Amino acid sequence: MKRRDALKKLGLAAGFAITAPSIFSLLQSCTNDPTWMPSYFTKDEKEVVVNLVDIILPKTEDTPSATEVNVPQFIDTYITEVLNAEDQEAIRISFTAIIATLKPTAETAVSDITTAQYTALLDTNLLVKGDIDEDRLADPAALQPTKNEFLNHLKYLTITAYISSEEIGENVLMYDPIPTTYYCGDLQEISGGKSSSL
Amino acid sequence: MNIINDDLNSYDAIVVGTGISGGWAAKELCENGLKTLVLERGPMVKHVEDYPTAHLDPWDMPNGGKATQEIIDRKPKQHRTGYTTHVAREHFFVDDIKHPYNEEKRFDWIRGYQVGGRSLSWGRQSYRLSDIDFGANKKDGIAIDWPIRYKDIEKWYDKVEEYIGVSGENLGLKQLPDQKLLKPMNLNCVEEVLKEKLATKFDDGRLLTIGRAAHITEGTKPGEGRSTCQYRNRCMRGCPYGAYFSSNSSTLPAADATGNMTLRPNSIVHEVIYDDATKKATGVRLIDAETKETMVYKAKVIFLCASTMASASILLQSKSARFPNGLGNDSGELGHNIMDHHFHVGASAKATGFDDKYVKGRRPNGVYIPRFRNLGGNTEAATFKRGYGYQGGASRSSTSELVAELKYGPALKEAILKPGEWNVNLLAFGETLPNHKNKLFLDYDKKDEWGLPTITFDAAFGENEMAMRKDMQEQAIKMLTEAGFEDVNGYDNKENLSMGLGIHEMGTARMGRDPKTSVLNGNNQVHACDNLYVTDGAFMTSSGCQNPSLTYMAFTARAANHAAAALKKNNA
Repeated sequence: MKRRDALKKLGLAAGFAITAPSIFSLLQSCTNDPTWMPSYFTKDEKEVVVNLVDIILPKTEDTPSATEVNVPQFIDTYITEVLNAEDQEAIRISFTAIIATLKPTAETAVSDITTAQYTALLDTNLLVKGDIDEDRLADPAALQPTKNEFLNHLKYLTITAYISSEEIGENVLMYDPIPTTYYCGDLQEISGGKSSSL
Repeated sequence: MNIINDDLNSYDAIVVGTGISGGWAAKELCENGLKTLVLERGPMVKHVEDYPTAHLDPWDMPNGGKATQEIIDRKPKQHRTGYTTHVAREHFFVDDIKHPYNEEKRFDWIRGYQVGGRSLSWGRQSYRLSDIDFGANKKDGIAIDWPIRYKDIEKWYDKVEEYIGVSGENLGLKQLPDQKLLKPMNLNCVEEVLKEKLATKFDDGRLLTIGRAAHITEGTKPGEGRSTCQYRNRCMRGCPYGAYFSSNSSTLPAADATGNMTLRPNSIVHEVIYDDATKKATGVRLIDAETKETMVYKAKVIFLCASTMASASILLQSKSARFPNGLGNDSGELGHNIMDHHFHVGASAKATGFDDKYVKGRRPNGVYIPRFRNLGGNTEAATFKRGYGYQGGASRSSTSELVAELKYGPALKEAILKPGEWNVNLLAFGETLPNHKNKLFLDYDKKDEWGLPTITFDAAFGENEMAMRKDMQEQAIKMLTEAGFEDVNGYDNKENLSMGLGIHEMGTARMGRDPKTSVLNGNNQVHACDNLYVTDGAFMTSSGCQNPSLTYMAFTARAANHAAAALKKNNA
């Protein structure tokens, strides 16, 4: 988000005096920098996440891909700021296992992992409704998430990050900041079949 | 607003607290011509200007606004609600490290220290108590009788509602008196179905209505720019339209407009000074929250509106030769009889056949099913006393259920942008019986940074509440099933059975006729110190199952006018 737009949204342009320091720090956190430096991810983890999120939510005719709306940055900040140290450690362990699974040989560089290999990882390990997680069955009490649980966590974080981005929230989903009214009606008429972003 | 001059530290009246009750005390006392000092322990919050998050969208906040570990580390107890530590609203809730309390049993004391208090963040549901409630203790032989009846408070409910604006629908029920209401908000299509089914499938009088909420739904109300609700549902951040009632938008501007109010934020009142010669309260001692300077202010009448817990704590700290156990504590009931509403029990379901329906707007309100238990005839429950109401409603989830079935790719992306199924939820709120054992006391060994003792809670729900919960769940299941919804699931979330989470604390300085068994009389005066009034939730003799804030407002308005009349009489 551009700083000027953000200020406008906060009402500063209209002359309101807003002094809360948290607001200014969040304005500075907006970034579209391609040389983005993660705060949690290692170089390899960043590479893996950037590849996986664009397979989960690829670019299509009407809508951008996950990386185009900074999903990896969101996830990195989220793990750093929202998750506790224990969860951060569990994610690190899961990444190690996932990266080992992705590499055809121990010597393969993460940058050489192919899209086909990423897709194969998800096909095998990202389970959906109705599937059975054999790893979980084998050890129901294990604290460490299984590969499936980790990849599902990543899938849902990707979705959350995507739909709470400005581009998707304002331009793809139904964006209605000041509805002025409440009523139930026809889905197509109200939102063109889309969800509300707010 | 008057400039504070510490040399002129004598006033007609002092009000401690600026929340729901304090705002009303300030307004009524000032409008009666009393020079009133209003003390608030937290910092200033100006209407609109100090609502920094009011216009933020999810993408304007880091992590979409989710509470960070940094926030949770400072506010671990406030975080227990799951919603008060969201980035958009956490600034209206206290820092638990700075403001500690102790728990013999888990107690969730969720609160905000700022001008406006919790009137900024309240749930806004506004219902009257009825004579069924005022007469309940007497009828059941539980605790003590309320010293007043509905006819004593009715006109004050009228006055408060007409001033603040409450929307909803009158139903002519004996257990839920009609109110002065603005036009109701709309039900959605699934809620309409539930309403119709309840009316046709049950013969015990249960029915569904839209919640009665303190939102302006038509026209304007007095205060500082109070206009109609825009259906943004961002109320807890502070409303830039002044559409819901808060002290900041309504009562404090009214008090200020009289020229009689002096508002002093950052003022931690910890003691009421009592003079045994005159049998009166003469003033308060406070500590400036920022400079830690101590000071005394004097007045002819004092209103404690600091909140149920804080007002009890101030009285317990106000020790004198006459009151060695705390001012007004002849009965030994001060700090006891803590009540809250028990909830986190009910049922949810899925509604099918409404895929082509959606809602415009975000309604800051839900449905209400008024109490239908223990009202005579076929409503009697054998296993418990009193009753409960349901809040909740129907809404459509923001992503399609296909999301759970798809791994990745364009189809998944399409599914995350489309609304999913309709869910219906009925969440019960039940009455809690007063019990002397449920108490708070002060710990003088654990002090806060101002050197003041901390509160320890020792309170829990009892057998009647537990028996009631079974029925609360069963009836919710029954109603959703009879309505024809699918996947009906009852729940009783025992993890959230601690007191306090309802944020409806009541009862620590209850009203009664007998000074031996109560702290306050029927005018909210401390029995043995009649120029000291307590008008926050502390006065509640029983809890009802209705959200209590409207009742605090009505009693406060009544008490303030009583105090003003008494002062005028004395001066005449």
